[in-house]
Amino acid sequence: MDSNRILRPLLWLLILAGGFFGLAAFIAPATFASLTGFAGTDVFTYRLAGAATFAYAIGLVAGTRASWVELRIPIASTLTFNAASIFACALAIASGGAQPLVFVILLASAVFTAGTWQLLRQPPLEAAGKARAELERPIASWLVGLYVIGVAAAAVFGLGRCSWAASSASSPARAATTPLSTARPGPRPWARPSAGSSCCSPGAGPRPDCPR
Amino acid sequence: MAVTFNGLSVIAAIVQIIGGAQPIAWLILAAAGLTTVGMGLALARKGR
Repeated sequence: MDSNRILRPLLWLLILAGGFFGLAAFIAPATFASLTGFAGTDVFTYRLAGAATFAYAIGLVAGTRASWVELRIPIASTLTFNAASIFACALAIASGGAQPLVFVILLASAVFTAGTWQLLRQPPLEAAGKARAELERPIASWLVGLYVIGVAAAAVFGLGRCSWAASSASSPARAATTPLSTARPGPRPWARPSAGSSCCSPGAGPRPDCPR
Repeated sequence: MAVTFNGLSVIAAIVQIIGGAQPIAWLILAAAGLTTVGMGLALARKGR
């Protein structure tokens, strides 16, 4: 895979995907959830996730005219975002009854992770521009403090939510009580569980789509 | 990127507070508001 050939198409694909899914989740979270088969019970979380996704699109639009030195950090962020997205999709699939959209997101995240990994592994020569030396200059110490606060907040909310999701996936009883549960109640023909599966465990209680 | 995310988070938190706030919405409003102002200032001053 040639980094020079994939840079621009990948960048615009990321911008389009981030712009569409980010704005849709931010502007109309309930409609977006309903159209994609989710319950949409926690609109605030949908809006925050939409804001984060849309921000990636904006950051990458700004990066379309940037040099590789300027672009490499947003690309590394995008790699992290999509790798975490694969983890989230895997948890959703493992916990059973994943919506079809989960598989679409899993596929897109895998493509984006592979593409951004390739760019970082073999930086494209095409994205020439200002050299590192021209860009390196000290920043204000108050800004470094702001970055530290941002990293701490991202660690608490991001990693905290990941570990909660992981423990929810391994414990159906806990998943059933989480306020962020996205499973739409009612029959789901694409994920009909068999009798005795974990969804009908005593801790979780019978779900409407479990065989009687 | 940071200004967009935090600016939109401020809007989302305000919408949430208007519709009946949970304590986390106030926390996010404060954190995102501070970060939006800080990052905006950083962009305007070019990191100085």
